[in-house]
Amino acid sequence: MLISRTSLFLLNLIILLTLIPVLELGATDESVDEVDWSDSLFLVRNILKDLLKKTEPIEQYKLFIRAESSYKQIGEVISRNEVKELREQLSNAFRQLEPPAEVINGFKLRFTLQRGNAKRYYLSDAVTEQMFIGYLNAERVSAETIRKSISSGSHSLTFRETEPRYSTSNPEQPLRGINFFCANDFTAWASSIGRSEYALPRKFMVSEIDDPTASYWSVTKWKEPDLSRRESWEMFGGVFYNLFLRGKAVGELPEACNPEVELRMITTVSSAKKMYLKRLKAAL
Amino acid sequence: MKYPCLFTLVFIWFNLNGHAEEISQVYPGKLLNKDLISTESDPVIDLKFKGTENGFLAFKFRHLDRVTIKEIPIFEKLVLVRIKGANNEPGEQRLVPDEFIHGDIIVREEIIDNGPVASEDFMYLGVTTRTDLKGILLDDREKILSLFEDLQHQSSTLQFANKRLGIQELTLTRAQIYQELGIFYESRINSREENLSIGGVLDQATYAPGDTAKLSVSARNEGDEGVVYRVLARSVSRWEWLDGKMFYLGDINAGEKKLFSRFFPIPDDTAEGDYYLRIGGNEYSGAKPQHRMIFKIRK
Repeated sequence: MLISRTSLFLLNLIILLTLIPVLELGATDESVDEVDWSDSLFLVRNILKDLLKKTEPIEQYKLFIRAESSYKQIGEVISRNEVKELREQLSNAFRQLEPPAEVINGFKLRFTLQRGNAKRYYLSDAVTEQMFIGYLNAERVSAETIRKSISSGSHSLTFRETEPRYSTSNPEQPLRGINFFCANDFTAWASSIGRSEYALPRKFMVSEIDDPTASYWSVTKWKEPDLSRRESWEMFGGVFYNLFLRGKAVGELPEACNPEVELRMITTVSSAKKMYLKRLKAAL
Repeated sequence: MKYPCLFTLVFIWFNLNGHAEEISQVYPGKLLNKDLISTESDPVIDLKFKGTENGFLAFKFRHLDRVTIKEIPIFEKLVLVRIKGANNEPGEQRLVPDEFIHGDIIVREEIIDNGPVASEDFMYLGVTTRTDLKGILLDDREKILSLFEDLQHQSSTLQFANKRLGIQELTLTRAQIYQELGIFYESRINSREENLSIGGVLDQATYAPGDTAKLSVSARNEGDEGVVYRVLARSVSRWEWLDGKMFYLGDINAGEKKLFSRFFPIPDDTAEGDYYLRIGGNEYSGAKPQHRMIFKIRK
């Protein structure tokens, strides 16, 4: 009977010892999952706190990318409240990211930060002929439209009717001589395919930009200071836009193709930050 | 012999006592003539706005003589004769031969047209222009028309000076211009904006600084019978020398095309390049048809 009790105890002990690794493994797996997402959550929160302590914009953006990446990993396993909280924190952090001095978009067009009196925004370099023929070919813009929209002799664009496609012998040359309508159409197309907000500069921006050599269209309508002239324009249907011509704003008809006029666009600080993050992610 | 003598006596008695006549009234009868006392000549220049000729505002000058004539009318002399004492009888009207009645002096004015003021130089608004053989002066440098480019400007008193004939004045109103050009904004017409096309043609492909460009603006009514377009147009441009010239096209009936030309002097310091302008139309119903144009300036 004693042997039998001892044997029973030993048997139970063996069974228990045999099961322990299995039970431990199960317990370990479950606790690892729990530690992973809570750690990640903790990590994201800490990254977002640290982000603003960094003075170098590039370090801020790198941390933001890490935080965003971690959020995407844990977003499905954390609670709704935590998702909401984290999104708000990410969004706050995005707003507080230092705007980079310059960004380059998908067309390899550089935008430079402008610190105006009223608002910060980014102004692009002049759109090149290479960038512009991308639009012409994608939208199948007719040669007749281009003849009316761009000053002849101020560009190297050619249209081959056999293909039919546009090409340029001078791809890096800034596109010059464009009228308002065509410039505005290009910015709309660029916004739609680049998923960014592009526009022609506004009047206040034009007046703030201190560049006596630059000539480009503004999206803002011209307000003629001479009242009788303004009234007669209204009566007979004339609409003028602000044209920034060699450092001076003038009112010009939108169909005018001045050979000096280049195509420049603006974008918002938010769009510029997204462009910067996109390029940085690709580089990392 | 006894009886004829008696008859004569009775006749004399009857005439002296029973049938004596008297003249109760003298008055003028038919106008026979007028005696000219004097004529005073007052030659003047008549100046009238005549609308447009060849696309320019036209003014007609005529020599008139305002003659003041003083005359005395001469009438027949009439008398009214009644039988003495028969005051209630109407009496008999009789012409008095070889006698006349002179009336009061009559003063009248007569305008004598002495023909057009032909081939005379008139200076106005800083320019001198000669009348043609019909006495028509054309505002071919558009000095008068330019006064009315400002739409607030409603009237101008113009002075045309000639060394020999002196200064002639004429007050020209916007309403007169509109009326002569068939633009009556106070009366309603059946007017729509469809089928109205506006165009413009320059007299040269390119111009040099200092040239004067002639721009002819046309408006065509391609609408149905009975549809009338009433159109004013104006040049609209950033450039002052291209901006603000009015084209008075007026009423355009179905199937009709109207043309109005203006001149654009190009300033000497104009740089080479393309200069943009629009012909902005203003139709009575509120339509604003537009036509885009380019002036090419080459040296």
